[in-house]
Amino acid sequence: MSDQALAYQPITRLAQLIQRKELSPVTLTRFYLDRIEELEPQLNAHITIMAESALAEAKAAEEEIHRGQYRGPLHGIPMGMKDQFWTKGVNTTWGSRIYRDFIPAEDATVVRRLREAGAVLIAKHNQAEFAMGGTRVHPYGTPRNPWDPQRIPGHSSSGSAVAVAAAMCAAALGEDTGGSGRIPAAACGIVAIRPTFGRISRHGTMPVSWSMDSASPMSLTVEDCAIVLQAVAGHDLLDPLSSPSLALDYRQGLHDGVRGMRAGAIKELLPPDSADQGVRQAFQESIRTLESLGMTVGEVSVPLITLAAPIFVAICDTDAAGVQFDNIRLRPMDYDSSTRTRLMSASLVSASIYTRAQRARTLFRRQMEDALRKVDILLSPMSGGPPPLIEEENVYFQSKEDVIRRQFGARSFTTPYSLAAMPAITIPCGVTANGNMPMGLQIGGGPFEEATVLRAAAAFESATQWHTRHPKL
Amino acid sequence: MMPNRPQRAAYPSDLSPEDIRRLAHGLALQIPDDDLAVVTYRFNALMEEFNKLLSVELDEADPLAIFHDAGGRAP
Repeated sequence: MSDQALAYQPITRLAQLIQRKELSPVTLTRFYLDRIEELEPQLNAHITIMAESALAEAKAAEEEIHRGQYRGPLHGIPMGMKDQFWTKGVNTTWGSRIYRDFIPAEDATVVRRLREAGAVLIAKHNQAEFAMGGTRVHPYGTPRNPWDPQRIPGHSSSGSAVAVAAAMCAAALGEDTGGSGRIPAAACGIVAIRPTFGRISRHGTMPVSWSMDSASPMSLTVEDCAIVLQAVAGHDLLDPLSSPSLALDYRQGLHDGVRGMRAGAIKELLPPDSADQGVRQAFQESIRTLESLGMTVGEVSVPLITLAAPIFVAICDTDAAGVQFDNIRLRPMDYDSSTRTRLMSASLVSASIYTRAQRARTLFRRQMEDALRKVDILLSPMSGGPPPLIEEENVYFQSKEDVIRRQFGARSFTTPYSLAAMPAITIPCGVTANGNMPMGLQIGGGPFEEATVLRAAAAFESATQWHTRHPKL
Repeated sequence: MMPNRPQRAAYPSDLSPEDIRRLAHGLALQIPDDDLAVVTYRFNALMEEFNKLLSVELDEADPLAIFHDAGGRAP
């Protein structure tokens, strides 16, 4: 297979070739390393490139496979991960200059599980500082959207989304606290899932919010996403909040279709008339596509979803301020100004606000559960429009109203599943009105219903071609 | 149950930069002069948005961060 043909091959195809010994993991790893060398100067998707160790791992994988010890679909597959996950002996910066020289003594559980599955770990990806989103000056360069380098690729697992969308790895592991996996995935035209909280161990994941952080598999296709989720999911004694339930086989039944499945478009998140016309059109067409596959689609209401963003900010930012409090007091100028002002503001939030936000979260979760008693999955767009231009994103807030408009509105789509501890996936479903930027359809489900949301996403993907569009680089 | 629930008061959402500086001072947090306006905008924005919850009855809901089916128990 030619180098050109290797780009954008899904893991399912690459794994077939590797298992049949028609493709060498070393060749594949070299291919992605060459892509990184070529594209990194324009995209800034990486913080650490692990070329030497990756080639050694690829060689070891190849030898194992030749000895007949094939481990499964990730064996010999080059993957990258957000620089938020501990990697033994390799810098883990958290996207911050404060952690520039931090070298973990062990792997995060998710990293260990990827290694056990035989994945070749090729690079640590660039990200928003401390996974907080909104970074103005990235310490390791500004990640750029491969569809339009003048636009952000979404926060905060930005580098991971860029790397997958630009074929600089076969798949990636991002992290999603309030949308940090799904938002960049949608902005870059790829797939990402945020599983149920507790489905994936947090051990070795540098924290933002202890009750919402979750690793987020990111990939070109839904089945690839299921493969990566399968590898990293499951109970872990090192994370006291990890669910003891067994992870399912997420590929089983993946292609069974959606006939008879019931979906509810969340009324409060339907694109208003003022939304980007591309978003409105793509969402309506997505519903028609799912209906044509035998799904029943209606509307459901989750009234508190309109306040999900302030509930989320009151909890998440306060948790993050707790994590960062010593550093933000002792070395504030080592933070990007956006992260610093966000953390300083959150440091002032009172216990009564935090507690009230958690009460609201409980009530919100009940409303999500009520909605999911009527339907199997929930549907919404991933955003109201294209990702902002980098220069717009970097403008300082001018007023309280400016913060509300820019910071709270965008969070309404993704934070609901974080607050409710429920799974959600984004898949490419169209383009924005300017005809260029990809947009995502979000499919959510009840707790531990990852298999259901994956099945619905796989059905949609099989009926559309959006996942086959790639940026011209 | 909260038999005599006190009347809810809105959180102030128009604090001045000097108010914010004093709040921070109580936490030994020194807000750089260049950041003070933005920190004030951010804090007031959260309070203003959060006050929209005042009309929602929350006292009967426990402040849960982890739900029973995640972490600690199989679904």
